[in-house]
Amino acid sequence: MQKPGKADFSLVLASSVHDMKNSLGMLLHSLEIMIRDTAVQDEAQAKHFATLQYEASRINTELIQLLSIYKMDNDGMPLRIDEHYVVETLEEQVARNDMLLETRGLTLEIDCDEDLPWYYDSELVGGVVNNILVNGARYCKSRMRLSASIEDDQLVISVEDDGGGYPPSMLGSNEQSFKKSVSFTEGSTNLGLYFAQEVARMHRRDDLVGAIELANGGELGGGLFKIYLP
Amino acid sequence: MSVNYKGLQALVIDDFDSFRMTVVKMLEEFGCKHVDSMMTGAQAIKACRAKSYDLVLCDYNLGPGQNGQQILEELRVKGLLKPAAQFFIVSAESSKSIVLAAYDNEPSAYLTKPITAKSLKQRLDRQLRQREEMLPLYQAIEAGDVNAAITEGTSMVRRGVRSAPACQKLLGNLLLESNQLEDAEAIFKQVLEVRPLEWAQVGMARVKKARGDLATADVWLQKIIADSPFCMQAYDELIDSYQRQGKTQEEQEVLEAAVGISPMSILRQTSLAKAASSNNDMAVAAKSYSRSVRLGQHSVHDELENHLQLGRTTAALFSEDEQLASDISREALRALETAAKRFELTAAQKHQTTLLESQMHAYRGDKRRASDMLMELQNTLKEDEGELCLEVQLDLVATLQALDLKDKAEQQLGALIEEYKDDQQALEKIDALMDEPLSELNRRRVSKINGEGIAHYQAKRYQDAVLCFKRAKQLFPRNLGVHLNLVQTLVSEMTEFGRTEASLELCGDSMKRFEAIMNVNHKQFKRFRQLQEMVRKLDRELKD
Repeated sequence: MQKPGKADFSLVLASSVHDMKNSLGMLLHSLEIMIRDTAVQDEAQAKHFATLQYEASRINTELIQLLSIYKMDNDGMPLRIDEHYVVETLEEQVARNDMLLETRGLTLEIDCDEDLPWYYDSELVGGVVNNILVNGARYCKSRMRLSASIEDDQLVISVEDDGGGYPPSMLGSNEQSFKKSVSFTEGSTNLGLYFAQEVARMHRRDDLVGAIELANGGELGGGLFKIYLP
Repeated sequence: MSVNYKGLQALVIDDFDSFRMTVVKMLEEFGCKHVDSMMTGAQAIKACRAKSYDLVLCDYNLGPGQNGQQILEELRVKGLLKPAAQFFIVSAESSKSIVLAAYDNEPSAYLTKPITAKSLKQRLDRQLRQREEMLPLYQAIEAGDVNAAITEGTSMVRRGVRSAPACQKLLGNLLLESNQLEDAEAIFKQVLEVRPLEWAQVGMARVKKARGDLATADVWLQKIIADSPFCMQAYDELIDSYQRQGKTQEEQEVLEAAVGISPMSILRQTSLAKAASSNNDMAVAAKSYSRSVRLGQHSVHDELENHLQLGRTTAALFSEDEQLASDISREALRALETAAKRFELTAAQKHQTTLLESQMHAYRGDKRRASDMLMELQNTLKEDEGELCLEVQLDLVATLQALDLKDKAEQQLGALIEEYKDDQQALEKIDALMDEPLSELNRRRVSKINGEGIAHYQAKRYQDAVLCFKRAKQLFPRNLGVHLNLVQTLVSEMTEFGRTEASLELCGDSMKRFEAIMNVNHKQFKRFRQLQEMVRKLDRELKD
């Protein structure tokens, strides 16, 4: 008898992740109703709600990302490049995380020309921005900033915060690529960046290929994530 | 610009009480004054008949009945959605096949669960702002005034309004549909100068097709598919082009690729089944018909013909691949039984389902049940005297054949040929049951492909000749001449270049097929025997 191969296991994993994501969707939905319908009694309770909400959406984001990576590896990810207003993609991610930002008491500003159009897959790029946003919300102090502009005929979307920034080992990633390696000390940050990098690379025009870049500093002094889309 | 929800007629479709109520409540918080909610597809379609909605939010998975995509499909087919109506599918499913099938019917957006009030509002605001801006354009389309719509759209694109990209797409379609090809081409070129967007590339190919240059269109469409294998519209255009050119083999290949990528589209499954059946590829035909019957369970595109054809192709498959045919036949029987419940059958159609059911039982080994059904039917037929249409008669002949009643089948067939001897279209249908084609069309087809094969053979291009004769055999499996040509080519090829087991097996299959009917009086007897001798000799040499 042959042992089940690696591919079989990843299929099992993918289908159970899919189920988990559906259950979690129900959970998040019920949670939102419960929080909305329950009058706030005291600060401790509000904090518990916030934690519940935050952790559940983090798991959800993580699962969606896992599934996307699975699909990407198995050639099942349709890329839908179309013309979008960048500001709408950014606003969508902020709206998705409204509760998270509120319960954490974070302020988020968007700096993007209302009429800036660009060509990309809005689901995938939105997913990348959402990931970075959710992660940043965990490490920042109180402020985050989303911005977009055109540099050298490429769209650049930046996500920055006022936290401690990325660890030195992750910087200078212009040349380095993010592997799917699981590091228990760094949590899943690498997986998120791997996803971001792959989404960036799926976007091409002529000889240009999309890329991501990490830095510290920026306008808010913390981590600065950039994705370039040609 | 803030969005005015107050005047909108909204509909929420979800089978889960809590979800439905939450979404309704959200819409009311956004300012909606008129929100209806429904639990099933049937209710939703009824509601859309009674009232014209501006905004529909529909869950994908609605339990046992129709899903969200099927509701949208039915509303589009029946024209129950205004051009300006916004239809959102809300789903926890993000699998490729589901999303691709949903996009076939062009929802305004496909929203993935979980949705929060804020994110829903953001998406709706965006879509409704665009709708408001494009409203004059939509209204002109709804009023049937295509020219006004084109004028309006052109001016909006020129002014560079926020919804200009969406206007461009719509305008391109309108211009194509009203055959204003130069203007359509100008729009697509304008888009393509900036970016190689799929829809504009497909648009260019459609312009080429409309001008009759199918060859160029085919090349362009093939390139789009190679670059973007998920662009289903490119497949559909290419399939349509091949169909118009009568390139049924190529048509089937593209359909198989398209169905591989997006397996849940019932229309493509049905087209594949049709193409495969006209190519005499019964395995693919029967499998695709069974899928389209399954997908049709809650679909507006379910058709009686698919149920009947599933029975016919499965019956034909029994002589090629008994195991596969036997597996599919169970489903075919179910499909024939449900046909009576799903459709209002005419007397002739009832006869057809009975005949096909009888064939299924016969091939599955239950001859008694099969012949009981046939006898009962023949008794009813005797009573009502009416003329039987050709289709029923053909199914009757096939049933007699299935029951091994060869003489009766021959007799019936002879009568049919006599009756329809001047009707070419009828003869084409009868050909399916004949050894030699009767219709001019099929005679031409067989003689053309045979002629090509013989030319290759004479020039000693054996491989090309084999391809021709194999294709001829596929199309006319009962034709002795075609089989003998194939065997002769294979024998020559093996004599010159060496024997192979696969070629010998092919020869053996063809010879065995006609052994039983061969006798000294047959006009091909001598040739048959000679070839048989040569094949046997090659076979012995291989085994030694």
